[in-house]
Amino acid sequence: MMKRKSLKKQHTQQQRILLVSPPVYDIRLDWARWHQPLGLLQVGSLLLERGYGVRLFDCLQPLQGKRVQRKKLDSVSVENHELARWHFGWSWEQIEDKIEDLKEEKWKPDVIYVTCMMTFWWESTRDLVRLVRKRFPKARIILGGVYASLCPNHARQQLRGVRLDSTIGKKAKTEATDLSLYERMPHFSGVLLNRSRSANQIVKEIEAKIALGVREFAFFDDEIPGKNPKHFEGVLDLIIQKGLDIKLRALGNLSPKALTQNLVIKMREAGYRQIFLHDDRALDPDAKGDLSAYERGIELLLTHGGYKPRTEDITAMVLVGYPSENLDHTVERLTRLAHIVGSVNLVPFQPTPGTDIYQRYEKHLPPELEKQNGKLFPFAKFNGASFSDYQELTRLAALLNSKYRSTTFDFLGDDQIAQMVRYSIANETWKPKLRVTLPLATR
Amino acid sequence: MIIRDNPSQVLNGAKSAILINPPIYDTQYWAYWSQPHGLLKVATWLRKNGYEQLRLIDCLATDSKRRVRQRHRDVVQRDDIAKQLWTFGMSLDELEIRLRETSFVPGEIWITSIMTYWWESTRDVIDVVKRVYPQNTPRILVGGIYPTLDPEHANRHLGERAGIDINVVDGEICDDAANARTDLSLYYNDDLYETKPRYALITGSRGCRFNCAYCAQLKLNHENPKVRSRSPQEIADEIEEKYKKYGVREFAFYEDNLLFNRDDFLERLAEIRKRGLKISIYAPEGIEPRLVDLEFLNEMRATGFRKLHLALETIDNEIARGWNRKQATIEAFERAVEVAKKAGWAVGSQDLNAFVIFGLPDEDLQVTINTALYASQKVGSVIPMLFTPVPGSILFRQHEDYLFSPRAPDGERWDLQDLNGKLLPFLEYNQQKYPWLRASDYLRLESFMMHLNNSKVRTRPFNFASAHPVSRVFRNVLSDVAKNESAPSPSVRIDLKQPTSSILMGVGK
Repeated sequence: MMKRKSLKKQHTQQQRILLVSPPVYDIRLDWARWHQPLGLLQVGSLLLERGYGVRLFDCLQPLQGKRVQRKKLDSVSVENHELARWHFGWSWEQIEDKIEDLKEEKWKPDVIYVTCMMTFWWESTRDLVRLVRKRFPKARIILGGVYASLCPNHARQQLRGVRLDSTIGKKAKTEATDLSLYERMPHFSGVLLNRSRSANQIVKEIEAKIALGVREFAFFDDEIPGKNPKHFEGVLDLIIQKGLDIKLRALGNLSPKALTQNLVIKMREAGYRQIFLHDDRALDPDAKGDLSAYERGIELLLTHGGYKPRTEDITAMVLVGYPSENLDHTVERLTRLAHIVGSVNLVPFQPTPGTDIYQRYEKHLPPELEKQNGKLFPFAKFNGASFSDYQELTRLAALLNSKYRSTTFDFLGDDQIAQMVRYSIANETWKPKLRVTLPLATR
Repeated sequence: MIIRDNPSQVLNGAKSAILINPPIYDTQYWAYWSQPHGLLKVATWLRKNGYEQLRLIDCLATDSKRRVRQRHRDVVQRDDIAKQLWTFGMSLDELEIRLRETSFVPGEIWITSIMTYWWESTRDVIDVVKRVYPQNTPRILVGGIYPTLDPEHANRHLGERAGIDINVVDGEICDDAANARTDLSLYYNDDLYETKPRYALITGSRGCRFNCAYCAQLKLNHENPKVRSRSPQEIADEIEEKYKKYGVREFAFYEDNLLFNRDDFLERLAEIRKRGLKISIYAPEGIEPRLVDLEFLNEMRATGFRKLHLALETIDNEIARGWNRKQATIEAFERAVEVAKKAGWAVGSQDLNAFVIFGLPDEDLQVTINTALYASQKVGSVIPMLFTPVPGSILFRQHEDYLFSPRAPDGERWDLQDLNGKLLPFLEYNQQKYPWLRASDYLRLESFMMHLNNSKVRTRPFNFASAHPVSRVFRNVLSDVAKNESAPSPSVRIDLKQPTSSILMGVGK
């Protein structure tokens, strides 16, 4: 019933709303510098527009410095490995301090909106809810975000007394995010490209953020350019036309297939400095994957975009750990992509409740959401592999991706040094010719 | 004037001195263990000899992260690469200010000069001294490795521009000075140093019985191959003094052949342990694998050694023999690694490291790569060492003609600063063997070795040689490509009868 009530009925004009993006429990926080709770910030914009008093706790926003803080929480057992699990973001004490600050101001929220961006992060959301409920017993707590949308029953069971409501999120989905909610301005801003907004509106949003001192931007859509490349180009044209001095990053959502000479030139001119290419591979266990799109895309980026080869400018994201994966093919693909693109990053496949592939392979997953974390490679056994195999793959990726003097080494390169390395490995000339085996000296 | 083995020529009645460790000009500098320990020993010796006022101006003093400032100086174009040249440490302008603000006019200026290819900054420091004291310029004494390895060069060039006669101290002043403790009080009693050193370098012995072709220790020790050691008690006393007086917790042994006197070294470790100090000990210059045994390593570990640097250099015993290192065999290295593992050093932890040398004349690049891969697989951490021809070494003497011949395109000749290994002095020489070889290939080779170290995940690096499917497929991918490639050119010995000038002037290419 509540879900259908209008916002005005939920909140009076005087109401105070606290928005919270909780800390995270995980073994690793990928893209740590690029987290931003976009949906929650859009909700914040809408509420501010409507005259509510809004405050924000973005617990993954560093309180000082640039790094997201972390503290060892516990450990997770996978096969015979004990993996450290960390509490990323504000500590509970720091959150308590922030709450104290609000109380000193006599600012008590009537409603607390909590977001949870990953289904396997639900535990820290639960703990956050416990804390805010204790400190603000009269406030209504509303849960939104991916976890609430995809696992409502789990959320209802685990976070009792919390309302699940996506109404306001849906209403806010075309809003520009409002970074003025931050006490400390973030170094970057996520922006959405494909949400029924004109190029003008998007660029206006960017300009408003530049006025706040933000210079780095990334489009957070699942895929860019998406179905309408002209729209993306229109945004880039406008950025160029206005001469905006910004840095743009493609955080793993730009398909190499989407690249054209025209687009590459515009991306560079608009300020794209770093590109993480999306892994377009169909989840076909037998496919080594056609890499021609990468070859063509890299050629365009190097020739027409002026990006430097084998540096951090361009990285291919490589999906691993999906159900029915052939690990041999992945190793080969990874090695060849490292040659073509220069840098490679592994992206563990994340089973997402509600998707077709999740439903198809759910029976091979552990039932606990937190154990479905892709970084734990929950399909390893189903794939006839082990967590150790994926660790070894991660080591190979680290070797292929390691930078010395800002560049990677090309094991498949045409140069003589790479050829000699291959010769040594292929012919095992690295094995020394030992004359005798001396016994260990134990004196 | 060159002073050699004559302490009475060094001491001439002065009672005050400023000691200077010059800044350096280089493309890279690792400042972690950068204390001028020779100069600090001289300080102790001068005090013993009645000097009342001493000040140290250590231009390479490090900050709390043990780094030194660096400012861009120049770009050196070397074949197809441009290397950035930096001034590391205090600028000459600041040095001038520091000299002027010193509360006393020194009777002497002592300058240390370490690497032969850094000599220019020593000359520039002398220019500054002359500027600060134009009249009655204090007596200048320059000591250290450079003046010992090439005293004639130092005598000819260091004071030339300033128009000063300097005193070049060739070699140790005397045993007393060489065995002195370093004087860290010079840092602690001077506001110049915001960060006081929390580490100390210790020289427990000098000399080595061997004469490896690339090493100049014999010349440095005035052709004396005898290993001369300080007493274990004295070394332990120095460590304890620095521990208690200055809170030093990290010590590095800098010696020509640390393990050579086995019993002496074991006694030294026992003596240190007796003091019950919680310290970490390092031997960053490496130890000889041949001399390693389990008792040694157990004792070293128990005394505070955290890292082991093993001198591997090459896996080819023939090549090692060519470097006059017949004592260094791959079998001895294999055994040393096994012993180290038994003593608790973990492969891949970066506590166990192997030096791999490259950039030598007539080198076999395939063997260098083989060695790097072997070292990576065997110990997990490869330390690439670019070869510098050091005056006084066998290899330097063998190639002096090549190194100082006129060079294309303008017929200029190199000086010592051009022989910095990072500037690849044997590039043109080795191009005779590998016509395709460019400076960028050496960068690639170095980069390859560094990459081998950078794949650590959960304390283990990637092992390309393991039986793991991931390693196997990686090898297969590389082997598939290698199948269609011709084998690298076989090792061809350079015709050393070919006139050097024809190599350098590009004749016959």
